[in-house]
Amino acid sequence: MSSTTDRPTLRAFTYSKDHLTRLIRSCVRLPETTRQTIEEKQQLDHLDQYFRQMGARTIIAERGYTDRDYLEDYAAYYVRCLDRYRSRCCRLHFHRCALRTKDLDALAARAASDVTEKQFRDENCYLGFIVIKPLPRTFIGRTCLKPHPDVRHGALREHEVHLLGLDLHVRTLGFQEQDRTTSACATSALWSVLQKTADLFHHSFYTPAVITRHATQEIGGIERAFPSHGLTVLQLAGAIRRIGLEPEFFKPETRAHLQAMAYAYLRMGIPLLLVGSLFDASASPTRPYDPRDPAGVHGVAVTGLLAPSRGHPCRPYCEPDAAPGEPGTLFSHSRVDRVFVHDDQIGPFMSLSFDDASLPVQCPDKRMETEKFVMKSLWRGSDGGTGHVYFAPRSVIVPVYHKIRISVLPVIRRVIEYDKYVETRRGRGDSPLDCRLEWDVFLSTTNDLKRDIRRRSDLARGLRVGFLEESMPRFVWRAIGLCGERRVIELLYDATDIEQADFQLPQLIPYDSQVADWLVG
Amino acid sequence: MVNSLREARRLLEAVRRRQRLLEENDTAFREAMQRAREAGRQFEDSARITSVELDRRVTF
Repeated sequence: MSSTTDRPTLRAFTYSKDHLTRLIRSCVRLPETTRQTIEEKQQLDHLDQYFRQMGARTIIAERGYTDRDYLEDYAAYYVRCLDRYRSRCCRLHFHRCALRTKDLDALAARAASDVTEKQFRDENCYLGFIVIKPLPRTFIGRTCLKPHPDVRHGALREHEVHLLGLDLHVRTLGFQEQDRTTSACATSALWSVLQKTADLFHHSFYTPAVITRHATQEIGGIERAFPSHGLTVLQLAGAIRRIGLEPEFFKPETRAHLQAMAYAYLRMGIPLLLVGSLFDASASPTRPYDPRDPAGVHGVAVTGLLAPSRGHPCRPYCEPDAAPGEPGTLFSHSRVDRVFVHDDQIGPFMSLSFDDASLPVQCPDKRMETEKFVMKSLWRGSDGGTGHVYFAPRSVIVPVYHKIRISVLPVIRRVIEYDKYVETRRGRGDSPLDCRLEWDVFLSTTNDLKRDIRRRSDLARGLRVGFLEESMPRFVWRAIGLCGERRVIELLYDATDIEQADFQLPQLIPYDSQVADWLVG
Repeated sequence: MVNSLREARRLLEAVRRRQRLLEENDTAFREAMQRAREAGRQFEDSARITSVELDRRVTF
């Protein structure tokens, strides 16, 4: 193992996959890390595709970078290895401007340069950074890259980056791959999720080693904590409780469930943990899904979603054994056609698409469905190609503030009932509503609700002022009834109440007073 | 036009009263509401995970 002094130096390189590979190799500086080791990683392909789409032109290599997350892992494990692993990392920054090393020198010296400070700091040009850890194979450390423009309702936070005494900003959510020593995929996914909940619910930031330690201390098993070979869902729940949040567990049986969960929580910026089985159908596309023999169980962080505009029709929700012709309920979340996940084996903001895929289940028992809802992943199959490895969701865990006691499920249930009242009335004529209501259901803070109410010019002044002055719970569920883009009515539910009570807040927001009059008539 | 928070509360109460009356006196409406309640209950119940269904021993 070579020992070198890590002097901080900044150098600029033109972006290319080849330069990225060489830079990673020179940052890691370990004999096991060959060019082939780097090129075999699927993360490299995903990152290269991202950089090409985002128009990256320059890589800035910052050597001798001290990364807090890696330093904790180093202190927890690597420092006691006989081989002298290094404690410091490299940080690679990515920029849309064409920069040369002499431009960086000029920026440092505040001398005249082709690139101005303003261009260098421009948030549209700076794409973010990847920390390269000095580990042989799992070298992708804390990665903060601007999300692709397709990502909507992303669980993002502001990251301040300091370079040459200048402050750069990137709004994203941290990603890192498991190192298979202090963390597994469950740890990496939870680490990403907690980056955002720290921002929302004001808890500390935890490093992968600390998350693994918390999880294994809370719920012990026969497996040792380090090296970590993975966590169980109960250990994940224990790690979430340890920091003062509550894990909300769900079983996403259908596409409608997962769409509702992802949309409802991501609208408030809360990312979700999604646990599922990977199923490789590349050898035989007609192979039935066997729940007893998945290719592997995997955990990812759901960090954003893609939903087409309101012009696209919603898919009505009906119960599975609904009578033919039952109109069902229209929910905005039914338009979500993919979620973006931080998958430590692929990269940040990887797409998992809902494309009506379902697989027949082999040997279903009486309790099991005959078809399994699956999502199309970007994992490579046994044939080396992508598109045939499916992700079958098994559970969703949402780490929420302890006062968020009502989950999305009872809210959806009540909206389905309310919609039926409106629809049945509408079916009997004399309705000023010229379309079916579409329901936009999501969690919100009261502060965000009041900010929104304050801006609404379609509400009477007295009503607006009344809302702004009213004492309300810290978290509310909002169910906005829409007619196209136009808001018609809104129902509010107290997210801090108890389920057995009537947790609807005692006001109905009438954006359309004609409809409001008709509802009571 | 609803001009105050008090009127917004009265509006919700009136909607609920209207719904109750219809359910009491209109069989078709009552049946439609029962179907909706069943759909809502199915949505909620099928997404609730029990501790038996959790993969307690699988690590990842």
